[in-house]
Amino acid sequence: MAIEKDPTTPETLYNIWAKRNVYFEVDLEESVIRKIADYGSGATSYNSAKGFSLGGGYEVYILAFFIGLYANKRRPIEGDKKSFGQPIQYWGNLEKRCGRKPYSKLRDYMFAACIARTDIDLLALERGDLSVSAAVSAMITTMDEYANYGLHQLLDKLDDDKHFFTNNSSFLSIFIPLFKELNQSYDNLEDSDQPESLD
Amino acid sequence: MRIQSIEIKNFRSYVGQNRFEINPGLTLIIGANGEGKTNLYDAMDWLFETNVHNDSKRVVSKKAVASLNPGETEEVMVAIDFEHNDSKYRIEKSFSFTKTDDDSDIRISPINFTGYLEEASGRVPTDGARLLDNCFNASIRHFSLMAGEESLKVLNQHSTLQYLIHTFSAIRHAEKFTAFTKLASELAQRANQNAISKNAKNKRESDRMTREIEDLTSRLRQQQSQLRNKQNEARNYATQIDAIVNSSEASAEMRAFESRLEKLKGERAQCQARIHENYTVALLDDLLVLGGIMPILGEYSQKVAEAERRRRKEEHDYIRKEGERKAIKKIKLELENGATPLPIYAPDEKFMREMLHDHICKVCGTPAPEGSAAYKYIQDKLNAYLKSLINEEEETKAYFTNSYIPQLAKRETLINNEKADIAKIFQQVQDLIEFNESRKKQLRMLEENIAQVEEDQRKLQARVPGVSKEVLLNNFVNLTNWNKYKSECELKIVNLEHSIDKLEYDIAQKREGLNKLAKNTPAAIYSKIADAFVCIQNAFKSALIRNKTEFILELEKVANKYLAKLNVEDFKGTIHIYADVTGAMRISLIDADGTTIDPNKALETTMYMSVLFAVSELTEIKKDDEYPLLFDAPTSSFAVGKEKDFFRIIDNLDKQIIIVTKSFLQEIGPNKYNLDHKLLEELNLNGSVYRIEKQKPFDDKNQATIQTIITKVR
Repeated sequence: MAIEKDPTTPETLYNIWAKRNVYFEVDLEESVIRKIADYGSGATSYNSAKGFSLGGGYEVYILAFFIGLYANKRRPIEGDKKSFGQPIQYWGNLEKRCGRKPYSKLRDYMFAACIARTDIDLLALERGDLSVSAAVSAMITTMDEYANYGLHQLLDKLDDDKHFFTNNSSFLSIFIPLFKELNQSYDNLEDSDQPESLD
Repeated sequence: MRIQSIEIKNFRSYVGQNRFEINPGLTLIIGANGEGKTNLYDAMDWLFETNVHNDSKRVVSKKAVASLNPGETEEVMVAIDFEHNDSKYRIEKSFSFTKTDDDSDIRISPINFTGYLEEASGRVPTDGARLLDNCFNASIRHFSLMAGEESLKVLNQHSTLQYLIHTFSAIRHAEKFTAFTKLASELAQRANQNAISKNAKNKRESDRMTREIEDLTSRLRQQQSQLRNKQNEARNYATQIDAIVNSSEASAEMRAFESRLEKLKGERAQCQARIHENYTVALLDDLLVLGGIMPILGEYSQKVAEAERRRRKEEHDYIRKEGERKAIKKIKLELENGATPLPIYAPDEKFMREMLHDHICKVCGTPAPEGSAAYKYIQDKLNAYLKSLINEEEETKAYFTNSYIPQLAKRETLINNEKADIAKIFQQVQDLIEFNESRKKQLRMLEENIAQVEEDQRKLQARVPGVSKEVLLNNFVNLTNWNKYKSECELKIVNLEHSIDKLEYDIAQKREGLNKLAKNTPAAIYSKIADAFVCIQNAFKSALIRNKTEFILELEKVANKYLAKLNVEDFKGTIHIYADVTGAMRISLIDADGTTIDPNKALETTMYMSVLFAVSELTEIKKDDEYPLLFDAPTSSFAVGKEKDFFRIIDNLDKQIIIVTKSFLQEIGPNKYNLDHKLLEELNLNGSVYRIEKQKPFDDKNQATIQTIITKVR
């Protein structure tokens, strides 16, 4: 669904957003990201022997983002921050590691989530009263805050059990209750939107 | 000996201090596979092994080791408290282990094997091995611990009968006297011959007869020696054949196990391949992480739709206002007196055309014929209006400088197209988990089966000590030659026995002839003495034979009593116990017509158990001593009904019996069992019942997380 850039039209909001880097608290690099992902060993030297399921550090970030998003809890970044050095537009592109599949489509949904959950005056943006750079920065802040909440959740799990993420169902065990709650509320919402029965 | 309690500390899965109170009758210890049954049996086996050696690292609990810090020390200890001849004792075998400073290994101390006599004044320590041997002789221990049904075949070993006769025979010292009377009669006969040869009259005759007797005696000794050799040879062949037959059976069983194992492992590999449990990767690669995105997509749609609506409205309002503003401005410019003009659209196009047609201004009533000023005024106003419409479209600037909202709306349309698939993701996750759980359940069952087959293989190997699994898996040499040699030996033994009987008869005849020469001489007294010793020697010989026969008959009778108890209302046949030509005890079941029965496994087990109980009862009767029986999984081949009867009967025997078993457990899920309290209540056992279980949670790949928990059920 990624929209191709047309040289005759101005750049899309998506493309501007996708060129951005995201940030995380520097302290979480050692305490969380490197403990879960094969972060820092290069994209092609995926070391499954170490027991890492995840390759790039941004993969931990993505999962942490969804944890924060689904819990609808944000945590502003405190202290020094750092980026992965890999803008969003490269996330989930064709993996060089065996057995993995590209998942670039995920970016579209992350973008949609950022739009939904960022307080941007879209009409001001349309009018040019709000700069696109400021709007995209607000979206990135939303992402970072959700992800930061998620990363701290992962840190808590690691504090309880340093081997927690060696289990393949560890992340799923975090997501399942969130999925259940969200789908339940979504189903209820859908049901209430249905026209009343004529019976 | 009656055990009162068993204590196990840090022995394999028994972490920390564990204690079983042991009933004077039946004690049932119930646990599923891998819960600690065999470890309990091995702990007792380890305690009863008096040969103290230091190779005991293998028994140290890994969990206990894991809980130690470098340099810290703990101990492994197995102990029993017991009563023996109205005194109380304790035997304790222990050693300590210390975690090395680099945390990589443990150091163990020498084994301490101590016995204690419990006296009013306190415990008096003594040598543990000696105390155990005194109270629970090593030979008896041989018949006390039985691991699995196969181990019951210990009764068929060659030494068993000798041991039993030696232990229980009323005249077990007769062999010494037999040897003495034999020597005494030989000495008396020699004195007799000397006395006869001193008589010159009979000298020649007596010398001849003496030489003949000596020749015959020499041949007799040779043949007796031959007989002993042949008996030994036949015994060796029998032992070898037994071992090979056992191994041969084991070989076939091992091959069957191996083929089953191969099949199970193949199924396991297939099952493993079907499990897609890399959920963490699937969250990204298969977009499963979108399982909760639907409500957020709803928010997105709502937000974009609202923005789009507001955008359109704002733009529309702008366009309308801008058009009005321009028309007013234009009209305003045309009024001479500077008055505010009507809007450019008032009157509207339709009315202005009507006024031109009717030649009258319908606003002020002034006639407006063609060419008049009024007509021109109306015509100009209409043209200005029409022009204003064209100008507005051409001149109005775009209200919005950006078009991000339409982009977002376009995205929303594309997302909507995919919504149906995204909505299925949560169900997809649930289905995947369910599928994997069901495969894992299948996998666990397969692994249990594999573990069971491997356990069976180990037990099978234990039955044929010294024979490796590889040897068992290869074909064994055929037994024809061994059987042929054994048969030849047996035939030779029979011939030698005949020959010996004849020689003994000939020697007796010759001696009688010689004795006649001694008549009325001083040698006659030696002759009578020699005869007397021969009579005594024969009496001992026949007593020994009779004793052996009577013992076997008694053992058989008691064993049949137990066989009847253990097989109520079931076909059982009769236990027949006999000594084969080599002297080994043979146990078989015979039918009413005397033919041998090939029993099924459960019947064979009850047959051997009956003999074991008989040995135990004879110990009690003849030696005024008793000892406990410990069985590990003795009823594996029993059907449920038979098993119930078995436990009911065992419970009513006046014997101390400890049974570790997985009976009475109901499987309620993969690797989950419930104790069948209903069945236990139905049996209403007098004995005590313990449940042993693995402490949960545990890591199925880490032995250092395994611990057996003991619960007393009744």
